[in-house]
Amino acid sequence: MSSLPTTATAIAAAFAGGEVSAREIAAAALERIAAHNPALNAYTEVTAERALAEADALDAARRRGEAAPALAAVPYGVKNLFDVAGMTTLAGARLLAGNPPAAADATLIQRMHSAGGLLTGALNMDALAYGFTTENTHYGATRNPHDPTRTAGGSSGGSGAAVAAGLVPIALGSDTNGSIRVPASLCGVFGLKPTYGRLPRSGSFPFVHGLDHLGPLAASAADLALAYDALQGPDGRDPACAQRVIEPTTDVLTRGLDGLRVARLAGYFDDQAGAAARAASERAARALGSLGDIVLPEVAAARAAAFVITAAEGGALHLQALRDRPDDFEPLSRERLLAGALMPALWVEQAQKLRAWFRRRTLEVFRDVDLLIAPATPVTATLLGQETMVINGRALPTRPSMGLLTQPISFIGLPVAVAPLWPGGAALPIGVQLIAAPWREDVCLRAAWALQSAGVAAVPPAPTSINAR
Amino acid sequence: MHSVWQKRLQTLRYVVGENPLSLAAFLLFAAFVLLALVGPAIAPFDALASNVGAPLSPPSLAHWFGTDSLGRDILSRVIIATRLDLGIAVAAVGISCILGGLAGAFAGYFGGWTDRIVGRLSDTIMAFPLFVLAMGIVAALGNTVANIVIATAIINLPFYIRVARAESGVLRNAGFVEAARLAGNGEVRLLFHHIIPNILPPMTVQISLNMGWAILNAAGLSFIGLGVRPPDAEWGIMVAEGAQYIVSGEWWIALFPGAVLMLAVFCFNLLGDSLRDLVDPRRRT
Amino acid sequence: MSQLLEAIDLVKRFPVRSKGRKKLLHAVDGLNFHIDAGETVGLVGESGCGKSTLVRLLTRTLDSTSGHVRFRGQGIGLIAARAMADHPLRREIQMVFQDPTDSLNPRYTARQTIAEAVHLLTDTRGWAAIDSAVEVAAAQVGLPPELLDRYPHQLSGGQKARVGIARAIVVKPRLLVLDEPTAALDVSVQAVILQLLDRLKREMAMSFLFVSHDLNVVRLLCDRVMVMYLGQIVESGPAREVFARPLHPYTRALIASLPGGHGNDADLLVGGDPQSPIDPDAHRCRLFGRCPRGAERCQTQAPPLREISRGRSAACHFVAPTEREVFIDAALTVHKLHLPPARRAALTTEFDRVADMARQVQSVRLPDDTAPAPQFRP
Repeated sequence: MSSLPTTATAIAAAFAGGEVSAREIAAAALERIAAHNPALNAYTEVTAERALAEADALDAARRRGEAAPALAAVPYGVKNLFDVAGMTTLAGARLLAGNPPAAADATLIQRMHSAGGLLTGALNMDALAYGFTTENTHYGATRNPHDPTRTAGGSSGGSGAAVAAGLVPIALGSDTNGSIRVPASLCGVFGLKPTYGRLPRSGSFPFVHGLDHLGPLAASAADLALAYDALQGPDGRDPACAQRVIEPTTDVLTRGLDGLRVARLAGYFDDQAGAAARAASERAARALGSLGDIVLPEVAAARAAAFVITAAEGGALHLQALRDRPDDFEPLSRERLLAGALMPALWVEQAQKLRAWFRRRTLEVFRDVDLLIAPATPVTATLLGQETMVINGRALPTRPSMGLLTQPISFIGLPVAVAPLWPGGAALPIGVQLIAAPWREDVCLRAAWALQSAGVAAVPPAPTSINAR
Repeated sequence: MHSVWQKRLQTLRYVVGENPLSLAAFLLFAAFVLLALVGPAIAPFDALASNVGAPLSPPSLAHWFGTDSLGRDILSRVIIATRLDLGIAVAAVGISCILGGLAGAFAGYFGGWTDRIVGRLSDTIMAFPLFVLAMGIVAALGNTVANIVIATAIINLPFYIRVARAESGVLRNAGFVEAARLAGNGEVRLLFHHIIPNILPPMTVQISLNMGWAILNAAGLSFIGLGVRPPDAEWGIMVAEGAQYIVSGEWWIALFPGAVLMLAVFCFNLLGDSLRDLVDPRRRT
Repeated sequence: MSQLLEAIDLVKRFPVRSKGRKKLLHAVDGLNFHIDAGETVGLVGESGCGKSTLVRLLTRTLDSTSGHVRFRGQGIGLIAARAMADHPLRREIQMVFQDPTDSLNPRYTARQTIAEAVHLLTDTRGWAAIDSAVEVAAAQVGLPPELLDRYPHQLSGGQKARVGIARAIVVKPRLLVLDEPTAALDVSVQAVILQLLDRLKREMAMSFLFVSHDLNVVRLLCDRVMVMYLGQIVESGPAREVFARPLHPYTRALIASLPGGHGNDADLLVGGDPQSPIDPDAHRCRLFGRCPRGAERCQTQAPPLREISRGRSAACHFVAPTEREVFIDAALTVHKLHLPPARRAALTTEFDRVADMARQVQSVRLPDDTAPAPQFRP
């Protein structure tokens, strides 16, 4: 048996061309998951029955002569804060384990389903999405497929690991301050955090309403665009979701950087970046024809404001449970949430004001550039349990600092794609953020595709043992 | 309304009632006191008059205790002697108690040099046997009853000093002493109003025990010729006078004074025990 | 000048002979505190901490080694203890003793005991006037007049306690020191006497210094409390606050050991012998070795008693600055949250982190027309 297609694009094409059955693809994926998940701990729940049922339904539809949808037979996983019909939405927390199962799929899962995707299961995350390393004391840590002693990043660690290990070509995650981009960077896969309000969040467990984004991770830029296109579309049930028409990106990928003005972010984004991160950022900048460096004003303050708003809204969301069921919280985040709930309202107001200002100042930059480049994480994947890391001579606490570079960007809702680089042929990957103006996901994805085509960004094939079929 | 005396009377009745010996002691004590007070009035004969009867006549109806070598009525003499003996004892013990008590109280309360001096004094006195001291004083100051009283008083000082010093040393740290200071008592007032009244009870016991011993001392001294001299009637002298006649068979001359002496000492010792019962249980809790 | 009593660097050392060498027992080691007019101050500490010595230094029945005691601005430390009885200030500072039986002259009736104080310390003269004063005092303490002519052995524990209190208040002192006034009483009587003290406190314009090892009693009666350990004051502040939020590890331990589960077992003193008060190491915290928090710094630098916030002092290196603590505590109260100490400490850390971030945000000068977007649109 020749090996099955591995990328989403290839699988969908093969299925449409009648070369493979959905069932085969599903079975292979489930087998890979069964074989490798125990070591990785990427999945918290495998929905084998559903995947197979969906596969069979697709196969039946094809037999009936129906046209294959865009993601037909593509197996995928979802971060376990997405509602999956018939499953309790955990959001990585023991706190929610006792809740009744979700009545219906999240909107984005419904769209994946309509697009022919096969849901293989729910993926591990930092409890309540408050973390950057997926070191979950209750459900266990997710390990980095490139080095099992290291973290997979977070909070969508399971999503990053599942894709990086080749278990599934696409995974869905969420990003409030960097939770798609950090695992994408540390696991070495592509990720997309769309513009704030682009993708509806209905049917998912929230963290910070004013900062939450949902988005896909994938093993190639093309797959990323494919998934993103399937996910697009307004939804009235999410009040933050903008009423925008679907703007497909797969067709424009190959345009590459044609006419795009590119700049690299320096200043804060160099200060808070280690050597590998800076190298990656410079490499990507050269490859994309950067016009020079740009320094944004008061980025540190912007990051601080994001921190404040996150703590305040996250704390308020969970205050009742913090009072009634403190032991069900991760000790690491429990008191941080509580501090957030207790802080004076003035601090939040000031942060919101700074947000408005920072957004205005940054958008001025986009008058002159179309794409900004910055590293996605200060360092490559840290060791599991590591408490401190040293960046440019400063010792910083590992976990909160992993999002130093992602936080200011998501703070103002700009669309960001992450492309994985391997600076100096290093053993561990590190991602770069490709940042565009609001609603210009197409620019981000074009840049990602350009980097991949140039061989600068790459997702190496998973170890042969994984793809043995 | 309870007064101290009513309470004491009550306890007295109780203690006396419990122990028949105590009763006997108290009655005897009462008898002695009575004799000391009204003795001369009830004595059948003049104690100093000689030849009121045939000399050396044995006890008879006329002379219950017989007569001595000078024909004096022994009974009368014994009765009269009570006053003298008791008087010497009371005086000696009284002086001893007051001086010793004060010295001991001061020494125990203030400590320091006062204590050291008083202590040395006490030790010095205790080094002397009574008779040596008595003889020394008599030799220095003359052979009178007064000097005997002084000698006996001095010899008894250490006992009172010791008791007073120990008691006041303990009371120095008592709560009510500190409370009394806070109530405005200066050091001297404290001693006299609070310490000393509270060391009296144990001193009282010592006093009554001491009385018996003091009587014996007085008798002993006069027996060897110090203090009381003939023709005064005193139990010790009478025993001394009678001693020479025992061999020749006139036993009554020495016996009766001796027996009464013994009875007196016995009575005071018993009294002391009873007083201790009276005083101790309540005060010691 | 409303400070009734002031103690400044008060020291009392007793010479002891140990192993043939002369040493000093530091019973009271550099105390600084004050008592205001009309205040009830509690002094708490275990036996051996020096509170009895301190009490005697204040009531001037004992002379201090060094330091000053000021009463209404006037130095009284220099008046020899022996001379104090005759001093006009003697009536201003009175004391109620721990053992009512021990503190009454067994040969004085209750009346005589109380009258003596009137006679010696006031200008009242004449039987009638003195008796009248005695009866007023007896009435104030709830002692029936027919008991006045009884001797101590004829009175119950509670009655004797009342006599002791009557004797102390009959001269109308400005400062009343109570040295464990209920410790020697039956539990049932304790409550009654405490009620009496509470009433007196409210009725008479007196300051009280209430010395006790019983925290519950101190909490009920006192406005302010001082916690003493091995001759030093380790914490002081308003009573309710000190109990609700103890700053010093020793206070925490005292509260944790109370039955009723107010404290955390993690606060209890760890095993270890208390340091000796004889020639103590001046560069080391006295609680080191028993303190659950002990660190390197505690061994090299004795923490001074410093003011943490208005009216609150503690002698520990690890007391957090309080404005933030007060805010956090207030916020916790508002949300009806109660945290055990370990989490409370973690909360402070996290709060500090958020506060730092907020400070960074505030540091940016924004144009005046900046308004926060109510619903963010990118």
